[in-house]
Amino acid sequence: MKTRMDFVEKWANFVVEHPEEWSRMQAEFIDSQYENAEMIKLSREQVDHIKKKVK
Amino acid sequence: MAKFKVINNKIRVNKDITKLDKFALEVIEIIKKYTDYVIISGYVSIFFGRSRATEDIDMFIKEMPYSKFLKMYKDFTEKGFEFTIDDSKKLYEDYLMKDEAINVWRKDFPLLRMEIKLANSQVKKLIINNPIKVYFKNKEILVCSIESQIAYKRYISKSEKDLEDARHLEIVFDLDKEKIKYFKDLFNKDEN
Repeated sequence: MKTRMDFVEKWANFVVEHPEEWSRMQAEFIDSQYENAEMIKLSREQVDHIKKKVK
Repeated sequence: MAKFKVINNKIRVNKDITKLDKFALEVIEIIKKYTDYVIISGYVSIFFGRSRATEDIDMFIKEMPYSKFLKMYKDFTEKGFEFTIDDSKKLYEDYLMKDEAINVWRKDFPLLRMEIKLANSQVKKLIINNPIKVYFKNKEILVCSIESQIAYKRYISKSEKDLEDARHLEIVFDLDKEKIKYFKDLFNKDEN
């Protein structure tokens, strides 16, 4: 069974082997997460509440 | 094969600017007018390709007098940022100077925060005084040494996420293994 670490290593090796490609793919992945979060429009209080729950 | 390599504490990176990078650059643009800074922790791994987002970017800054801190505070708030508390004096005295992190974020997007702490120990001072200058897309940011980052994440903090961040950096960077050991020993001494 593949572990999370296997995927971390696989992606890191992709970064090394594809210096012209990794950044665009990573940017799409990261930006989409913030775009989703922006749409939800959480307030400061809601974010604080979530952060406390996570801790 | 193209591993990242830091030469003379400098590195040039060919990368797209993400929303996370944009936020970091906006904060840095203000911070650097008032004090020295260095970016540490998870964002360093993300900057160099790790495939995850984060809600906090961590930064050390050098100590500054309250008069300067107040100017920085006003600069931030005038540009649409918000802090942990709205009282600048308390923020300075009860948080920053007491080794508590202060958080700053864009008013319209509180999910993403810069977590700022004073570089007040020997090892933190060493880190802030020896940053790596990273150049990308006509921008510049200062990050901590990659070896210090790996040492801290692999041997001190050691959460699953930290170990993954460390592993990523180990694979993508051409590293100085002796330097990792050096920082590991320093962090261990700092902890004791």
